Amino acid sequence: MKKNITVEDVKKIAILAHIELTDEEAITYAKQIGAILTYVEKLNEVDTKGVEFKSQTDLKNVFREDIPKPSLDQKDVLRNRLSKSKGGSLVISSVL
Amino acid sequence: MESNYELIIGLEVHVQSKTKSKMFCSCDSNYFNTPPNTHVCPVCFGLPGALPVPNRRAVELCIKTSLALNCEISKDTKFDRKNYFYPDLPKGFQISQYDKPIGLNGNLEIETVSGLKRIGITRVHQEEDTGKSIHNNGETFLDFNKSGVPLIEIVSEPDFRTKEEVTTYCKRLRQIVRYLKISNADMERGEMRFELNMSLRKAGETSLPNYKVEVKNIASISVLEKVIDYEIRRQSEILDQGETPKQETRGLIDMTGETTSQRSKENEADYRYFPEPDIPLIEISDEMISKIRKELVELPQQKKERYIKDFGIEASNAETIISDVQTYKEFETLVKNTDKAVIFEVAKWYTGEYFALQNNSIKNSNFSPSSLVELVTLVTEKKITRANAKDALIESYTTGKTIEEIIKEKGYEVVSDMGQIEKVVDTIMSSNPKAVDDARKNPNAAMFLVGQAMRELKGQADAQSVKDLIMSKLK
Amino acid sequence: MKNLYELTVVEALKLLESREITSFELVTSCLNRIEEMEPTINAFIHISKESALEQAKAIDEKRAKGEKLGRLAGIPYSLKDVYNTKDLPTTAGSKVLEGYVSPYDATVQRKLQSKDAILIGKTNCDPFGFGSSTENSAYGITHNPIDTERVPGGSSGGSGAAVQYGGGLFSIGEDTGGSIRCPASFCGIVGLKPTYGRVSRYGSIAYASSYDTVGPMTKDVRDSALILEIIAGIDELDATTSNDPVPTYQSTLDTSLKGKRVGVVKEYLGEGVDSDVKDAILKAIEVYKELGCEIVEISLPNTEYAIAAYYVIGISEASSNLARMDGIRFGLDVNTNEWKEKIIKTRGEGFSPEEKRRVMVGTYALSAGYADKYYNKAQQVRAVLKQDMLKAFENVDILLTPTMPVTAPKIGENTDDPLKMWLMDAFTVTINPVGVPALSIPAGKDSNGMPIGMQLIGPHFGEDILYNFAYQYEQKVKE
Repeated sequence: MKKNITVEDVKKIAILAHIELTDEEAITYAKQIGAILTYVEKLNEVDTKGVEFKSQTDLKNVFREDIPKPSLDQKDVLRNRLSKSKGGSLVISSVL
Repeated sequence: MESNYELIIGLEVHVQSKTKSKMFCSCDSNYFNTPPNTHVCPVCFGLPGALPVPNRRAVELCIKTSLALNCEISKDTKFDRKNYFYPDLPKGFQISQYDKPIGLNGNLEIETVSGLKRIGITRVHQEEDTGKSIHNNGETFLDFNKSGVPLIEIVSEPDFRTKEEVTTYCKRLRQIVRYLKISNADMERGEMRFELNMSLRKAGETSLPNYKVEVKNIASISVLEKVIDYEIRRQSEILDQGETPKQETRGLIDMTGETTSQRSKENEADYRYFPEPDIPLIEISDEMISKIRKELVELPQQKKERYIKDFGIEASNAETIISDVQTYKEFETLVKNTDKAVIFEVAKWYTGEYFALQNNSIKNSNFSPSSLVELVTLVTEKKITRANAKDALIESYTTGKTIEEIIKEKGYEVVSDMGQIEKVVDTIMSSNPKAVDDARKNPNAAMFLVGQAMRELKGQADAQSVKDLIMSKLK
Repeated sequence: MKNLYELTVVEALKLLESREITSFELVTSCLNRIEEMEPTINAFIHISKESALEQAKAIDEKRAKGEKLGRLAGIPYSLKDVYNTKDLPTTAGSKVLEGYVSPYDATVQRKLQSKDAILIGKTNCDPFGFGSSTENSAYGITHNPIDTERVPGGSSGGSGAAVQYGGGLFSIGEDTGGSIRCPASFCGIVGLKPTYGRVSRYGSIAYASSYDTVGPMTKDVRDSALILEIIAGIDELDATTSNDPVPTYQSTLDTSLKGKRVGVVKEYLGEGVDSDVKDAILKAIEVYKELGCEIVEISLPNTEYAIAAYYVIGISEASSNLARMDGIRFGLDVNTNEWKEKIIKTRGEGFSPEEKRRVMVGTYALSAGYADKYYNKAQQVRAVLKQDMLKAFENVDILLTPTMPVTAPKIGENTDDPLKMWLMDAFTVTINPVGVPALSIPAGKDSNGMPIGMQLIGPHFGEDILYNFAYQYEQKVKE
């Protein structure tokens, strides 16, 4: 079954994924994403009744003990945005 | 509240777990009042490549909370990712629990005007906190010290019908997590936060309303009460006009409780939950549960009921004593070796005179709270009068002198030699023949004689005994 | 005598220990080779020339004094640029991480450093591992050193090329759906995708958390075994690492294969496989027969669904893993400060079309109303694939397939058709959702002289079995 993805669909997904797209990009992605989704439709051919995937690892109950260890130095935390930090905080324009 | 409508409220309460380290990394979780971004590592700062490893103690505390709230424990549980973007959410997702919360289908009983009411607990789950955003003058300051601190989320059923029920529930919940050392639940430090789901329905209706208003990030019980008041007004005005309030998330404007509609775009949340692939599944064994169950202690409601039932403590006194851990512990230490019959009286004094002293006077370091029990015992044994006992308590509290010293100094010792009392009574009766006559006709008039005798005895006798003696002599 | 950069790790260690060469000479030889090759190959995003030479000198001095040294003392290596390295840039091949300097070391880097190995540079790759050609990197295309018109494979193409030409004696790649095995196949080297949980992923920039594996890319099988011994094992920083003890893989290389059973997956030798590739695999089967193995035909009946399941789950996880690339704390710093605009622009400008496509499809596959149809269904199919694989291993010791259905394509040949690129990965992507280990080793050349890779697949934690089979083959065809 062919899966149609409209430009509007792509724009909605882009909003959810927080990615800026040009109209031109949206048109291209609509086609490509449609093709990809059409391809993966074939998953429906597999009978998976009563089948459940639990986890990639057989491990269970892997925990850390509650013991604090040193954190990074503040300068290392901020090193990638030094120009955007004030008094140890990262500063951005307001979130409202 | 407007009598036309009934309140329907469900609550989500976030409690910050009392662990030493964060939920998924080893950063010190004691971040309060520390310089920004000093309790931060690749994991809680969301650096590329960093991986979460869950804190065993935090999971245990979540199980403990679930047990205390009578939940079923999910034997097979897991963490999930809740995806959304926000600057103080460093990974672009929060690790939480989606379809297999640690605790399910619990309840908490609260006292209401019409007796005990069972509030349903939908779920109790474990998650992590975000960083902190401080908005100032068009700028937002981001501090990630709080990022990754463990939070327990307790979600109730929409079972609340009055604001008072909500308040009572929140206070009980706070007591419970404190009793169990799950959280300090200090609201000033943001360790306990509330999310309100509220709607109104016409009185007499039984189905849930077709809308729900959500208010997030409420930092205290008092603000929560104000929000409820505000929303009652706002929603009932809309309903009065025959309209339905919009289903939405509203933001808190300030501490007055006023709320405002948030941009609708933000409301279209699609969190795209899926199992956190970086953390193996969790299987909660019966051994683990019974080990944690052993950490449970008597909870506030049970304690209150026991105080009332076993010691006859008055309900209001019992409520005061159980209100916090330090208080009930001090009280229980005080009455440990005390005669059962005296305990209810100690409770009265403890929550009355003693609390008043604590609030109004400066304690001498030599004062021992056991003096209180000593005094109350003397009072019940009628060895000191109530009034003198009060004075003695104040004296002891402020000077540190022992009760024995004070009684000796002030001559508070009650006259218990009945011979001496009889002598005084006889003298009073013979020198007041008119009063004796009056008292024979009207027993109430005997109080004059009692008063005279007590004055003669300098108040150091038990008034009841004096009265009894006079009455017997009048016959 | 060979150039020093041509040595295997094991050979070089012998010469270093016997003081026939110094680490300084070895590192210099590799750096010179890099200088010679990089203008045409572009295998590296970052070269740590100064620090590598300094470290080499320090190790030589220690060795001269007779001080105790780590097992890889003086051996130059490279890391795929998805591994965080303290104080060095780490880009994952993506523009969105432009300028990011990590404050911490990945566990694999820490382990190699603790054994006194010398980091010579960080290698190019498709962004976040999204690709099998290393044509998508924001830091330029990597060329195949054997034929520079061709791709080196990917996504760990820089590592494949570097090991092939001698830019360091080994490299650490990262394999989510073939990203180690594909370039190993196209560059004619040995690449291991270990069992999920065998090697710590801590500090490896995530593509798909439940697929990602960290593995060695080496010139031969013994080197691979040696490096795995060092990098494998439980890590308290990666909750998915196994606490199974790490075997000494080198000690079982010589075990006889007599009576062992090799499964040949019939679906993997059908349509779409180049005839040269098919011939090479048939020859390899003959070699195993000569080594005393029994050949068993095996069917993995759901193979045709594996690619779809692989992609749906992989990009779903990726869409979430890449959410932290928001420009707020590190990486590309776009010229706006309003938070929402900043996040959207950072991702709009920082992601290549391939990154945008995968993140968007992944977002869609997890979104309300579609998760059941895509993500959850794919997970169920994954369970079926796992059952198939486990069943196969009831019967055989290993499975044998081509690594890739083709040899290295020309640059630009497939890039405009994402689906076609996907289908090329059919034999490698099926492994990661199941978590078993797989090794690609050279198995001859095609008519153009391009290497052909053979993939050996083992049961969970059966790396020792893979190495045993691979080594026996390698020695046999050397004869």
